[in-house]
Amino acid sequence: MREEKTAFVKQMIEGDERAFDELYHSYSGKLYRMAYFITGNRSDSEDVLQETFVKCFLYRRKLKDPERFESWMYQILVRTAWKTGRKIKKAGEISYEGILEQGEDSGFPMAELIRKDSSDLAKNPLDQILEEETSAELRQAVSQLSMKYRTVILLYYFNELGIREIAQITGTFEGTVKSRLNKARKLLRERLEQRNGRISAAEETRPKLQA
Amino acid sequence: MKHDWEKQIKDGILAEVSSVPFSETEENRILDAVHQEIGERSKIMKLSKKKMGIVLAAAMILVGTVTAAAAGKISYLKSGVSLNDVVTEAGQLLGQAEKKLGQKPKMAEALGDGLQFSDGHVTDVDAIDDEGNRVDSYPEVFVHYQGDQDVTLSVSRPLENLPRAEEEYTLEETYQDILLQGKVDQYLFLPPSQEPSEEDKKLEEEGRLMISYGSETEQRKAFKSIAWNEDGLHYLLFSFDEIGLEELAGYAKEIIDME
Repeated sequence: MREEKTAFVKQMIEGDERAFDELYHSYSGKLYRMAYFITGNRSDSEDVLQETFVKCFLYRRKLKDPERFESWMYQILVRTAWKTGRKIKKAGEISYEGILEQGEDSGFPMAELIRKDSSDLAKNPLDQILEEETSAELRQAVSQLSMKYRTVILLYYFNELGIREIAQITGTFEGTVKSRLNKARKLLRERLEQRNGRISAAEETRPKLQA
Repeated sequence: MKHDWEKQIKDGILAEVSSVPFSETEENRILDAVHQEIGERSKIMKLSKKKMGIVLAAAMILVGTVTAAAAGKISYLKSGVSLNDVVTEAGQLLGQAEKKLGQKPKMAEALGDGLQFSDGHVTDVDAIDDEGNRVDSYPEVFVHYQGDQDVTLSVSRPLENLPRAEEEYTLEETYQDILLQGKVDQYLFLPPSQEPSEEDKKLEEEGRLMISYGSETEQRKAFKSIAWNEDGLHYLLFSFDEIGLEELAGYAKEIIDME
């Protein structure tokens, strides 16, 4: 399968539109989902996907090594998504640094501050909290990360790329990638710990069943 | 038992990404849009290799010489061309040029031994202020010659209030009481999303390099030009190809010699 895709890439570089279409159908689903994770909305994701493949074809001769097609596409997608993101200000988005600054200034522990921002959680009764899945908790935490942090955790956890490759794709230093990854992990872990803590506390309040 | 946070985060991210729906209908719709966009941009990029890059370059040449006007504070000049405006008949182009410029320009059908008229177009060059408003415009005609080299002639009626900054010319010669001025400028053409290096940015700031965006690949080219004024019109003969200023000046003299 890998050889077949490499063959399509080589043909596409020569201008073969059918090979390009094959590659599109192979990768569009994955790249769309990646775009959605980074941008957070369908409209921008569609624009990013479209622009990524347009650039892929128009600048195909810049790809010197067909084996690196995936990595090259991720690079185009990420840069395009960031550019799109700069045009719109996502309502309510706060950067991780913003959370830390607020936490330090206000004296609230970071975990507490996150819970304060999660107005849905604050309003929902305990039963609803108990019913929330890990993915919903993660979704909330991820949505509060800035685009560049979301990109790093996407490329690391979903695409399973190494630090060096992520640095190349995002055009940043390896140290910056590591720093963003660690901060994002810490935030996500604390959200999960909170959830687990609430579930444990909730378990304690349930009436004990007779053995 | 130690909780495996990494696994929980990874599983959560995987589930989150994988859950985003993307239907076959959406997939095909976007592919159609991709092909349409490729088609549109390809036309412009094919044009850009011969025309738009040169049009941009010509506009950039003028930008390089513009200082802020007293009124309207012109920041830069802008012009463009669409495929539909390109004319391949010399007679037709001359007619359009006369109408546009308000007088008949000197426009040869051939230059030297091997350059033949290929195509051309007329356009308006817009003078834009700091806020992106068009404050004025002037007409310009482009005539493209092909042969051993690609050479372009631009004839314009520039704005009277467009003061030009001091330029350094490597060639200055008076011919038939007309001053010919020639120079070589270094150009860097970059794809839209590519950033220039720090070194190139420095050269641009120093005025030693012109950077233009919109090409398919990164290209460095030497832009050779000869300019002169005659009967209220500004003539500019230029090329990116391997051609010396003296050879360009020779073509300029042929144009001046025309009746």
